[in-house]
Amino acid sequence: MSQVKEVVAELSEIAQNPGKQLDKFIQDGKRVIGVSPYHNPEELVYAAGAIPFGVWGAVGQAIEARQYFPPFYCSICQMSLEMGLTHKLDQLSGMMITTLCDTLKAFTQNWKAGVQDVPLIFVSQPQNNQCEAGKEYVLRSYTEVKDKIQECAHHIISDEELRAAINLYNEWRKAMREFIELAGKRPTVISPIERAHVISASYFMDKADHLEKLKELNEALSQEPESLGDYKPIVLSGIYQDIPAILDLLEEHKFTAVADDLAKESRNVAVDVQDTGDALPDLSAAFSNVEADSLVYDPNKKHIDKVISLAQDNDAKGIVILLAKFCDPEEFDAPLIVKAAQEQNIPAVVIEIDQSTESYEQANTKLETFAEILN
Amino acid sequence: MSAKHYFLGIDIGSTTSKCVIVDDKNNIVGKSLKTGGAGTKSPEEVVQESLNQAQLSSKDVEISCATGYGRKLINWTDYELSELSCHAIGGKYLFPGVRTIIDIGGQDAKVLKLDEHGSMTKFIMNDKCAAGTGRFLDMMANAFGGKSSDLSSYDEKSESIAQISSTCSVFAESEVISKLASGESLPNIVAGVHESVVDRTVSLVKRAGIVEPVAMTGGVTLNTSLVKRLEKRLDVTIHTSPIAQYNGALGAALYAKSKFEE
Repeated sequence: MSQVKEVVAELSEIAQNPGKQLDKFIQDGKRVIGVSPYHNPEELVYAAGAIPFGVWGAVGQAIEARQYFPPFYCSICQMSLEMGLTHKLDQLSGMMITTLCDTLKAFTQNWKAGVQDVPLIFVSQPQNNQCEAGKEYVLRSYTEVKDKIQECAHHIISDEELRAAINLYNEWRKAMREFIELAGKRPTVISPIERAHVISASYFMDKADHLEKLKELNEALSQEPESLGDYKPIVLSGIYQDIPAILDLLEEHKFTAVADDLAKESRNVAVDVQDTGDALPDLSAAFSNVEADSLVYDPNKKHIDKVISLAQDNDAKGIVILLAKFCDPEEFDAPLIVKAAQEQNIPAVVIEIDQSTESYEQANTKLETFAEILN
Repeated sequence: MSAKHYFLGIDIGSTTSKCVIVDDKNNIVGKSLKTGGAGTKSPEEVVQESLNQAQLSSKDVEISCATGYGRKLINWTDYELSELSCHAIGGKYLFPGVRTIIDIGGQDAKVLKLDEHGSMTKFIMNDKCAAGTGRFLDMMANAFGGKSSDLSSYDEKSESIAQISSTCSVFAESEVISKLASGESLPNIVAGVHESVVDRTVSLVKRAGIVEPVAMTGGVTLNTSLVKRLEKRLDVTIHTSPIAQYNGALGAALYAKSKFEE
């Protein structure tokens, strides 16, 4: 137990102070490359000897970014651009931005136009990721991305280096999946806020260091029996949860995510990279294997079935959808998840979240009521 | 159980505070409502008025429960419960057998689904926008220098419906002013304002799915013209009560009583 608390305290500190972590990498002489959502091939950065650094916005108000984005755009992109425009990310050697939604596409060009000191690494990904043309497109795109990363990191990536990075990431993804499962069912040992911090910290750490911490945590957690206490087991769906006010509300009303479908958490570690020979084609094939996700083409809506199965397989009492405001891909799926949950008699609630929202009183009422229903 | 126990519920909303005291036979022995919600003196005033009406002192109250937007701002109640759960409890008591409750409050609108036992199974709330709530009606009434309590009688005199198309309360207010300036009759504009609220309420109700019997609570139930328009659009009878505004506080009082009985 004390070992868990010690590791968690360290990771919580990192999760809540990413700026310090960035300064530390720079002081250590590392090159750091920003990584935007979603499914970014950050193994390429690692293979180039640089540190991939998650840039998923920050809680606050976009002011400078409003010159480039209208108010009804996703706050992750607005706040990430705000950080770029206000020189908080000047230490980055490059910024990888993907194109999986319309806002991200605009974000790539706004970054290029507005942030002069940090070069854009344009990561073009097809939403239609499983057809042959889509697979070929990803490989060609990743080849260009690799070139640009080499330029930013001042390092030519060998196939062996990329394979080593892939192996490390595969091991880390496996450990993350184990952690998510262990932590969700032991909220009395590691609180839901601490669980979220452990995951958030991974975005600001060298993955090898994070993996080491995860191994320690998983070992310690596996020694503890499952214990929900007075927590209500739920499935969290959406893009992300790590807004302090939202984490506090989930804790206050005693929800524990026994499984999640969050793009920043489980969805980010769902797909491993296979080893079939050449590392870059394997890396691009992994993107083609992403499925049951609102961010890729999903004609049979496997994403909906996945969320329901997560609830059923993990004995969740309900589903909490943290709907990122103005997130088109998620807004299309949320009503379908609610409908499917209703058909399976699983209570579901939608809470709209946004990094620029200052008051969550309505969310508080909704979560409190939902907790009362689950009781 | 002899009728010697009293239970207090207080509902601190965004625009009003309500208090209800019930005895152990569910009789309402004291109630009070005042304009002014969270952050005003109204919460303590409604409690005192209710106690005076019931000829009780605070020591006579066995258990109390707070609900509403400002429920966390007071610390003297024994329990707190979300306003949706309280509306479900109060609605079950006021309208036995009710399956759908529509509550339009000062700054939010809610639809509650109850099962055959009166337990809440689903709820839908408006999002952050206040269009379609009591506050929206207040703003529209202010735009022509009237009061929201006048709206119903204006609507009764309408001959047609002036279209109010803005979804934002602020723009809708400008639209009302512009219609007035262009010579549209006030009753027709009010009818348009009511239809605008009905539009939003109908979409909320449809998201929740409607099951009869249907009841409506909250201050907007006093606006009979609006309730009639809603009935017509939903094609259902909507049950209301003269004390529908107290429904949240009543639910809180009944919840306090249920805790005592536990």
